[in-house]
Amino acid sequence: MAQVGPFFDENKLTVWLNEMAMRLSHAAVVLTSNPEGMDIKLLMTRKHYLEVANKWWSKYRGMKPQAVPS
Amino acid sequence: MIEATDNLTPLHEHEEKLRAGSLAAIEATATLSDHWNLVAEAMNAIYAFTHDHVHGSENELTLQYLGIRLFNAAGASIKLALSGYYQQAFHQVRDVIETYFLVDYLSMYPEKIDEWKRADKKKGISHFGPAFIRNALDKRDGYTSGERKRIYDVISEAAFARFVSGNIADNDGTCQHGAGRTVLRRE
Repeated sequence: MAQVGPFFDENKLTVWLNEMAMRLSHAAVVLTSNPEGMDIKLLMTRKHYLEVANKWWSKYRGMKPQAVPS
Repeated sequence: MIEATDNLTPLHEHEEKLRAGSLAAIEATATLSDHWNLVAEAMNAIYAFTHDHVHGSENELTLQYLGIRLFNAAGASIKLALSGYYQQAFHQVRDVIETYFLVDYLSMYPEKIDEWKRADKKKGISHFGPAFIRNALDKRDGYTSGERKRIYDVISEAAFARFVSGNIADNDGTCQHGAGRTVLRRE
């Protein structure tokens, strides 16, 4: 049935959120992969982010996007 | 007589109700909460790079501008999806993917960043168009079956959108995240 205006659909919300998580998480990994200079704050943010992303990719996709720097 | 513009207020109220319902649905499901948390963390990382990080070169500044495009597309997609505009939300997911592929390509070949910025429309399509970028990345990763095109087509199908390529337009150093002025525009 056609729908005029916004509506709630849990299946569509689920598909959208899964796609966003997959695509945006990879984009963030690539974008922050080689920052120039010695930006400690950014490196710490990236380290935390990679830990979160790796956990998600391991849990939901059975893989890791990138090793977390020690 | 009711003015047509009077309808916009209840429309917005309805969108906000849907947003609250969407957030409640996400919070009620562990899987969706995990996805939601990852999206938020990704946006946080992108913001740190594009807004807080001081660029070390013109090339890095260009990547920061592309990061702004990623951030704004993600923010718009969230806004639309939570308020029940799923098809339009997928338009923005497609922009996220397109921009992400371009960032991946330009990060791999930083010597091409300046060439990309200066490319006219014809060269932009032939040397840096989405199909060219997808093929180059697939070749790098050893994909022979057009994996990135498959992903792009699936999202495009969800969005039912006509393809439009994007490029940097302004470069005056002023950056704005979220619903403010953007230094990027579509051509």
